[in-house]
Amino acid sequence: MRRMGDVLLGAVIVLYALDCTLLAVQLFASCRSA
Amino acid sequence: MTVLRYAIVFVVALLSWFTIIAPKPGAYWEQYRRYGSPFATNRLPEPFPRLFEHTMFTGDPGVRSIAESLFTFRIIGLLEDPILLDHDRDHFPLHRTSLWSQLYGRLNSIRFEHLPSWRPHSALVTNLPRLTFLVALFPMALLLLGAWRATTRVIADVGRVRPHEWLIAVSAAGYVAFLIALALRYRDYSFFKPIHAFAGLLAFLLPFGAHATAFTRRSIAVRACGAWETSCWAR
Repeated sequence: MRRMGDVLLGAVIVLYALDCTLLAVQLFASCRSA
Repeated sequence: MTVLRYAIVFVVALLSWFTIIAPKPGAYWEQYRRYGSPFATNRLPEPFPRLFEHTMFTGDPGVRSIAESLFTFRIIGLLEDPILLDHDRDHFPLHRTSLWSQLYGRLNSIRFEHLPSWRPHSALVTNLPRLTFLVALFPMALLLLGAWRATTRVIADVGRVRPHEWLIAVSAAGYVAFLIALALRYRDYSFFKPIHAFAGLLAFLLPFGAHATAFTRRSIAVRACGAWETSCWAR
């Protein structure tokens, strides 16, 4: 149960990081095309 | 220090801050001088919503009724429409009328609200918030259970609640009340933002940390959060 909790909390942090990274990628792409 | 002394120091510090320092750098004095109210925004307050009956207002829905807005959590709607687009007044995802759904969406995805020109075209960008909304139900449950446990503890034995716990409880309850009041007063969905409670973040982190510590002790993040929470409790 504890391990499952660790996995879920870790997954949330990784997903947040991915979300921000994808936004940063879009931001850089739009800057390059501007 | 007795509870009364804590209360007096807290009230004096709070009033001093909000009457002497905050009005100038916080632009409240300028707002009052220009518009007659220190809390004026660029929107006018809307008529107060009814409990169940949907009523119209000038902004975008929003709070159509109190029950629909405050007593719903539309996770299915969030999974169907994980990106909030500024649709017209008549066509919008149903989670836009639910305060807690909007707060949850904005809290858990940086892409939830954005300008139409920033609309993501990649399926990955659209599906990522879907997965996040599902997985983030777990930390949200930890927060709610921690808040529930703290509330029942206060109700069960008010006398044993320590002064700093009162500050945490009042801060958390106050910011939740502020989010609700703001939503009911302006009703437009653009007022449903977790950033309005950001100043009270620590008050929400503590019940989350308390319950997360009980649930799991091996995660570094949770252990750090729990250690901080324990040190606060021990004082």
